[in-house]
Amino acid sequence: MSNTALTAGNMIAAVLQWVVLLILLRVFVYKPILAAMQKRRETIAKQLGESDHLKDEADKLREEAGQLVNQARDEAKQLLANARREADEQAKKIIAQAQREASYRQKTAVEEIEHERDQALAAIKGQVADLVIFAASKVIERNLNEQDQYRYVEEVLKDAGQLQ
Amino acid sequence: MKFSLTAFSWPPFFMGLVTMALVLIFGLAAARQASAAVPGGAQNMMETAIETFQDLVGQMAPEALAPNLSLLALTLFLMLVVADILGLLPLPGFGGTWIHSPTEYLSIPAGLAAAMFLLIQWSGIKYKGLGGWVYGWVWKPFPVVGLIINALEQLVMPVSLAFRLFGNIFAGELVLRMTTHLPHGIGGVLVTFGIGTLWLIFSLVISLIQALIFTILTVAYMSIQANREH
Repeated sequence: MSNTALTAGNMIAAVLQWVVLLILLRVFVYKPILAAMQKRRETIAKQLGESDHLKDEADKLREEAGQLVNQARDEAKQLLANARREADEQAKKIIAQAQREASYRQKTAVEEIEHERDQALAAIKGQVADLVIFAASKVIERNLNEQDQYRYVEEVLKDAGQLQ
Repeated sequence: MKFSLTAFSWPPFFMGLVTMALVLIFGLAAARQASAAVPGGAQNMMETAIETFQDLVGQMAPEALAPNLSLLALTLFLMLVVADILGLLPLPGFGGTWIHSPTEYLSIPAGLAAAMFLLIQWSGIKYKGLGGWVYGWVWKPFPVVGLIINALEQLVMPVSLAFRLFGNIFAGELVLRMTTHLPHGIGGVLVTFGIGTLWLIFSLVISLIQALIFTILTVAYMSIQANREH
């Protein structure tokens, strides 16, 4: 049969073959492949969304970490400053106390010394008085000439020295 | 060119079945392990083909029509490519009674083109309404006279589709067959080999292009029908 012959049967058969092939491909090929493509698209979209989410979270965490570090740094600075101030205060306090104590001790020492001296003076005064009374009594006991007197006073003083 | 209602030619029908089988085998190989993960070779090819046609059709057709039309066009394209190339393969029985492209029998492109004509009109009716479609046929661009213009315009579409495909494929295989009848002898073999190879390459390209043209023009005509203003 000639190639250019138009036969209704072949025309219809060709269309039917195309339609049958279309149906078969739709059911067995296009459907699963389109489903796979759709699923892949969804998976990729999901993963992209997830990665966006994770990135946001990471950004947030990094920001938080930065804030924490800054906060820690500030706190450390403050602690250090506090410690320094306290140490200064303590040192001042100690120095002040030491000064106070030193001045107190000095004062008490001075007072003690004065007291001692006063006591010593009082004792001396008493002894001098005793000596004077002793010497006077001796003088009164004897009336002497001037020469003797000197000698006698010397004697007395010598005695007094021994008396001490 | 004779038209017969009763006659039936078996070779194009048989080769049509072979075409269907080959396309189906490729399709099933692609869909055998349809995976949403990394697609394999055949699946990759099929996905690329589907996406290419989705893009191609999506640019032209109305949005509601595009998904189905792209698959319809892809099927048509795959079928025509395989059909066109079947007649070029060095199969046993090449040029004999049976081994030919189905598309080099005018009935096959003509039948498909007639189906495309119906599809084109269907898309016109679907998107303009029956009234709008009839109005477009009879009243555009001029009242009543438009019918003649439109009839010519609309009928030229399938006729040109059919003859373009048939002519290209028929001529391609005819010339390829002629190269096998070049003079014998050492020189003749070389000439046959050289010219035959060149023509084979040319015909393969033509096969692809003609399949694509048939498909794309159909989609374009349908889209024009669907998009045209009332």
